[in-house]
Parts: sequence; C-alpha cells; structure tokens
Amino acid sequence: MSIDKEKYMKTMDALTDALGRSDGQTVEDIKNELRDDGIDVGSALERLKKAQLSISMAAKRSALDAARDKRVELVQKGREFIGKFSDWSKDQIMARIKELSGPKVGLAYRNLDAMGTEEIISILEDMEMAHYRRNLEEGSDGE
Amino acid sequence: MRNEIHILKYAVWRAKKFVLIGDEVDPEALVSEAIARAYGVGTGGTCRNWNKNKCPKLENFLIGIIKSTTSHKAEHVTGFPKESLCNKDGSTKDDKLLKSGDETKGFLKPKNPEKELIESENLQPLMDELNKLSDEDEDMGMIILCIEDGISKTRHIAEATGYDRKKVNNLLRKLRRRLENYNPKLKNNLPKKGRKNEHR
Repeated sequence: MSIDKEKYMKTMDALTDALGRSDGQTVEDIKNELRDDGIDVGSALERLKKAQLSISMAAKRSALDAARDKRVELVQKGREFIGKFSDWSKDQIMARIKELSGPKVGLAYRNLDAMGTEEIISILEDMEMAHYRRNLEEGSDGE
Repeated sequence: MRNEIHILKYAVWRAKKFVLIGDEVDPEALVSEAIARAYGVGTGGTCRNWNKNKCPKLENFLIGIIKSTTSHKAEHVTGFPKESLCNKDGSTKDDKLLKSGDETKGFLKPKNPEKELIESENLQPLMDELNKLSDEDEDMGMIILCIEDGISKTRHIAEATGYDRKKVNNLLRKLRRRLENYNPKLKNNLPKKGRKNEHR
C-alpha cells in the first residue's frame, strides 16, 4: 500500500485538534459527548483533581529536595573556603579580593589595607562564597 | 484547575488519534502528564514553563501541552506515558514521576515496520471516510479541506472558509458525531451513531 502517511498523520493531528476543542459547546454537551464515549465523567474528573493535587505535592517535594541539596552543597563548599587562604600573603589576598569585586564595586581598598590579615581573609572567604553562590544560580537559570 | 472537562475532552480526542491508527492511549494519562510537565515533574523530568502573558488561561496551556506531546511530529521523539502517572485513587505512581533522563531513552525507539504498516492500513479507511463526507456535504467538505491543510482552530477555519464561527462549530459538531464511533478494526466503518444522527 502506498499512501502519503506524513500527510495523513498531519490530517489526523488537525482533525483531533479541531474535534477535541470545545468552542461553542456547553459543559452539558461535553459531558454527554464524553458519556457517549463510555467515560464516567464524574469519576474521571475526580481522579484528575486528585492527580493534580498529588502532582503538585510531588513537585513541591522535588523543589524542597533540590533546595536542600543546594544548601548542603553550599555548606560543604563554605567549609572548603575556611582556612584555604591562611598561608596566602596579604598581597595575594588583596589581589583576589580585587579580582572578585570587579571594577564596578569600588571597595575601599585603603580600609582593607588598614585591616589585619585575619580580617581580610574572613572577607575573602565571604566573597568567595558569594561568588560561588552567584555562579551556581546563574548556572541554574541557564538550564 | 478550572475547566477540567474541556481538557479531558481534548485529551479524549487526541487519544482517539492513536485508537484510529490501532494504538491505545489513556486520555487521563495525557492530562496527568500535561499537569506534571506544567509542574516541572513530567516524564523524564520534562517541564513546560507557563508564560501567563502569552497564555493567560491554564486550560489552554495544558491543552497546548497535550497537543504538542501527541503531535505526529513529537510522538516518536519526546514520548509520553501511555498509562496514567497516577493510581486510580489519584495518588501518584512515584516510580513514574521524576524519572531520570536516561529512562526516557526507551521512548525513543523507532516503530517496527509491522506497526508502521498497520498504522498505514488503518489510516486509509478514515481518509476514505473523510472524502466520502466531503462528497456528501459541501459545507462539511470545506471544513475537511481546512483540516487537511492543517487548519484546526474554529477562528482560523472561519477565516479560511468565510463561514461564521457558529456555522463552523455546528459543522464540527456534525463531523464529531459522524466520526464518534469510527473504529478502524471494523470492516464497515460508517458509524452507527452517525447514521442515526443523520436524521436528527
């Protein structure tokens, strides 16, 4: 048999799309049509409502799980930064702070100069953490 | 979710497409999958972002998802569950929701030649039936012509034919009745209901 299956499938798509829409039909018309198809409309709608609730709950659980995983990841990453810069020189730390803050931030570097090494290490740890979180969020948005 | 009945009806007709070619799809599964995709937990982790500005009605958004997942272009590629994601009591089958991407690879399998042939054989009588309906009724013929051109929305059919929307809806209703009991497995495919309705 040689038929233009692609064309026929396109027709089937349009046919079921046109006949599936309810323009100009009352709810009662639709119910009757579905009953004629052997569907117990009340039960089907009840099942769909329950399904929607279950799916909504599953989605919320999924979002909570994802948020928890992200939090755990951040905490673990935060631990990695602690102590990481203890053997860095003050110049190295200042250079990294400048790198992370970028040209627009305009940190008061003179104030940083006046601070002790431990204090600027603490600032760098916070900045590394914020930088990591920003990258993580941008990565999620890009998905 | 409002207007569930419109969504269910749409899914029933989209599922009929598969019945007409000799396959079986549960309409409720299509609705559940559309809801799951809207919530971002569809089969294979699929999701569809609802742009309220573009599509203010959730009903239309869900119908759009059902349309695209069951389109002849998408059916072999994206895949969707043929059975419901939910149990009879509405609770979710957790093993079906949030499947990993790898698991969806099973849906990508091409159809075997035998199945392709059966589908083709089932399509021909329906096309013959549509041609017959076109020959019997000129107005209906115009509607079928639009459908064959891929025009399926009432508004667009009205624009293409010059008929008012009420007439288009009436003709679609008539066509719906004529095809209601169409079964590709029957030799004589003129629907019983269609025959009866001719005298309405």
